[in-house]
Parts: sequence; C-alpha cells; structure tokens
Amino acid sequence: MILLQASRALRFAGQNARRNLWLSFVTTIIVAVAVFSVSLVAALNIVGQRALQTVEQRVDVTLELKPDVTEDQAQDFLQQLREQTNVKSATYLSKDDAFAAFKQTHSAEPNIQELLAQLTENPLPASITIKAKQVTGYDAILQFVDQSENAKYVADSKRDFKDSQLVIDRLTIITSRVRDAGIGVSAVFAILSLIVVINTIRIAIYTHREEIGIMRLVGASNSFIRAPFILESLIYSTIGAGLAILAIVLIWQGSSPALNTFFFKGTDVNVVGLLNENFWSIIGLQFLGAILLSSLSALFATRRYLKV
Amino acid sequence: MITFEKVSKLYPHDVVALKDVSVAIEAGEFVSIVGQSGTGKTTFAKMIIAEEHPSEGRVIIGDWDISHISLKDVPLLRRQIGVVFQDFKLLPQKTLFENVAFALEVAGVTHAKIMQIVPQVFKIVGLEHKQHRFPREVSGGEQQRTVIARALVHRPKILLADEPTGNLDAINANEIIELLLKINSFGTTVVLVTHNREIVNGLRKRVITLDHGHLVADQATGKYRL
Repeated sequence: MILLQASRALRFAGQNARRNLWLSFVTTIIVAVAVFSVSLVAALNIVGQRALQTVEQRVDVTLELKPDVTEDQAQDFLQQLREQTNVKSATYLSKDDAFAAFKQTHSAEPNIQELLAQLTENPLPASITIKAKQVTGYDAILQFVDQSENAKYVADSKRDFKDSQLVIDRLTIITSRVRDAGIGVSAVFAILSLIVVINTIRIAIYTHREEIGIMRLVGASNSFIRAPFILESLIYSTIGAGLAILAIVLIWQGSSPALNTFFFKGTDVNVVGLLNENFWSIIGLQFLGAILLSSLSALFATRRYLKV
Repeated sequence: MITFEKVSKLYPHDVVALKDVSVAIEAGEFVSIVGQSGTGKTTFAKMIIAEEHPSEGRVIIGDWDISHISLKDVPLLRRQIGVVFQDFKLLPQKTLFENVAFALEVAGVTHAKIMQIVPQVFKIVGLEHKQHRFPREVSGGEQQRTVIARALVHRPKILLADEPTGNLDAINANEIIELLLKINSFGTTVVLVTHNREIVNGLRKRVITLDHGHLVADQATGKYRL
C-alpha cells in the first residue's frame, strides 16, 4: 500500500516536473550552483588545512648542545623538553650519530670522505630537534630553553621557525578569507535556491490546482496530496547535487596540477588524492545539503500555498 | 444517515448562510434541497463533505459527528460520500476512464482492482463504449455521467449532487436525474441540491426548502414552492 502510494506520488511528481520543464531546468541549475558553491568551500577548506599542516610539519627547532654536556645531562634535558605541553616530539642526536649520519649523507662524495678520514676529533655537536604541536608553541618552548638552568646546555639553536610562522600566518589568513567569502557566496546561493524552489513548487501547486481540488474531493489523504510536491523538490535537489558532483570532480581534476604547484610543491601531497580521501564526505555533504534545502523549501511551500 | 442539529453558519460581516437548521435524512432517501441563489443550499452541501464547519450546532453522518472533524479524517469521510458538481471537475488531459480511475489511484487502490471497478461503474452510467475518450470529445451530459461514475467508485452510502444539471439542456438534465434515481434504487442516499423547478416537481420525492438560511419547508412528497 505504502509502496503503491509512493510510486504514484513519484509518478505525479515526475509529471509536475515535465509539465513545467523550463522551470524545472532553471530550478535544478540553481540548486546545483548552490550545492557546488558549498562543496567548493568545503574543498578549498580541505586543501587549505592540508597546506597548513604540510608547512607546519616542516617546521622544527634544532638545539646544538655544548661539547661539555654529558650524555646523562643531555638525556635529562631531553626528558624535560618532552614534558613541556607545547612539545609534540623531541629527538636526541648524539655526536657519534650526527657524525655517522653526515658520513652517510655524503658517502658519494670522495673529497668529503677523505676530509673526514683525516679528522682526529668529531667536530659535530650533539643536538635535540624539537617539533611543537602548533607553530604558536615554539615561543613558549624557546622561553623554556632560554631559562638559565637550560641555556647552559645549549651552544646554538636554529630558530628559523619565524619565517615559517610568517608563511603559516599568511596561509591561515588566505584560507580563512577564502572560506569566509565562500560561506558568504554559498549562503547567497542557498537563500536564492530556497526562494526559487519555493516559487517553483508554488507554480506547480497553482498549475495543478484543479487536480488538487479533485484529489481532495475524491478523498486523497493530505500526505498523498503533498507528497508529489515534496518529491518534485527532491528530484531537483538530487539532479542538482549530481550535476554539482560532476562539476566539482571535473574542476578538481583539471586544476589539480596548478593546486599541487601552488600549495604542495616539493611534498608528496596530491590534490586528487585529497579529493579521493574526502570524496564520500563531500558527496554526503552535498546530498545532505541539497535534501535539507529542498525539504525545507517544499515543506514551506506546501504549508503556505497548498490548502488541504 | 445525515443529521443537522440546530446548525448555523455565520460568515464575517454578519452574513448568515444557515440559521438553526435541524433536519434528518434517512438511509436510502432521495432528498432535494431547494431554494433561490444565496439561500444556503451550497453551504448545506459543503457541510456534508466537511468543506465547511458549523458555527453552531452539530452535523452527524451515520454515527460520526463531523462538526469539528480533524483534517486527517476528512479524506476518510469523503471516500464514503460521492460528490457531483455543476462544473464537472474532470481533468481535460485524462480520458474518461483515467478520470474515474484517478479517484481510486489517490486512495491507494491496486491497479487490478481499478481495472475491475472502473468498467463496472461506466456500465452503470451507460458510458462503457466511450470510456477511452477525452472529456472534450463527449457531450456535457456524458461528462456529468462520468463525474457520477467517479462518485460511485468508492461505493458511497451517500451521493451528493450540487446543481448537477445546471450546465445541461433539458434532455441531458432528465437523463442525469434518471441516473440519480437508478443509483438511489440501489439503496444509496441521494441529496440533490438544485433550483430547477421542473426537475423537483417531476421527482415527487422529499423536498427541503431553504430561504435566507432558514429551513422553511420539509415535505415528504414536495414541490418547489418559492
């Protein structure tokens, strides 16, 4: 019974959409644009966040320890650093390990190897490399390092995170501005599509007023009278979301080389890979948004204009 | 079958459509509701199908007090009452068969059942040979007979006909009245709302006369008196 009624309501909804074909087309396009703009904001947000993460991952601070710092002192200092709330990781590299690593790195360069062989003493310092949980945490970590009881261990520190912080700050500003503008544009399109869907349903109700009157007369239930109009709006949103998905996939794939160069040059991050990772959440977001949008507008339109 | 208990219907600006109307129509009766235009006949008819609700009093169909019927129960009521209007209310893009089937489709009746019931009602109204034509391809009388067929598909206990002959010539009008009498002979209660003097006088059935919203006469075998 429910299936039978649902299939008939769907048939009537299809008839409604066909009889006002041009209007249905325009409505679908508006819904598609609204869904697309929301998805674009989501996609840009994903790319922006990943770009920030990539830059953040590259930032670290290396503390070169004084030659007279013993292994025990170094380990104790390392432990204290690891206990700091802002520290994500702290890695100790002993003098010997640093020398071995240097040797390994330059193993293909005979001149350097020859020079190293002539050395009587290891000139490389032991070091601690620190990664903060967030870039803003480095200041606090370095304040801790600069305290007199800690500073006595440190010979030098490579504090080049300030440049990275500038890049991150800029990226954060660009990402949030793009997101804010995107949310604004999406909101405009969402409101526009709400109005267009409401108007389309209103016109459908008007063109079917005779049929609706007869339905009422012969005892059609209120939900059966309303259902075709709600289904009609769902048809628009489903097709609209489908078009938006198609557009975003094509645009994403087409623009991925440029995006890769701009955001992720020199990293192993791939923009198409990012889409694949987030594909179902983007599709889910699109359909959820479209269904929510159409259901809201159809409910409003049928309550406002369909007197059953 | 249909009971009006001290029913009044007041519209804004002190317009009185019905005032203190009390009447009982028994099952199987053929009753004509007569009166001049604006005397409350259509309001009376609309109250039977709950399209209007009384401002005062009670309207009872069978044992069901529909004075303040809920919106969700209205469809259930209307499936028990066949309705015929002056302006036919047929969908022009559907054939006569599809128009009648439509009443069953919206009520959730299966396709097999529809194919069984619709030809039967077309046989009752004598249109079995024209059921696949469009409304524009048949006469006004035949369109009205299709509307009666549509009103019969739910096997209603009550058939309400509001000015069913208003758009028809005398011959077609008589054919429609004959059809209503035939349906009444099967046991269906028929309520005919009309201001056609000849038809009412020719029926020799119960006549309820309304004037300015008041019930002024109720004759068992009456004539048009106004």
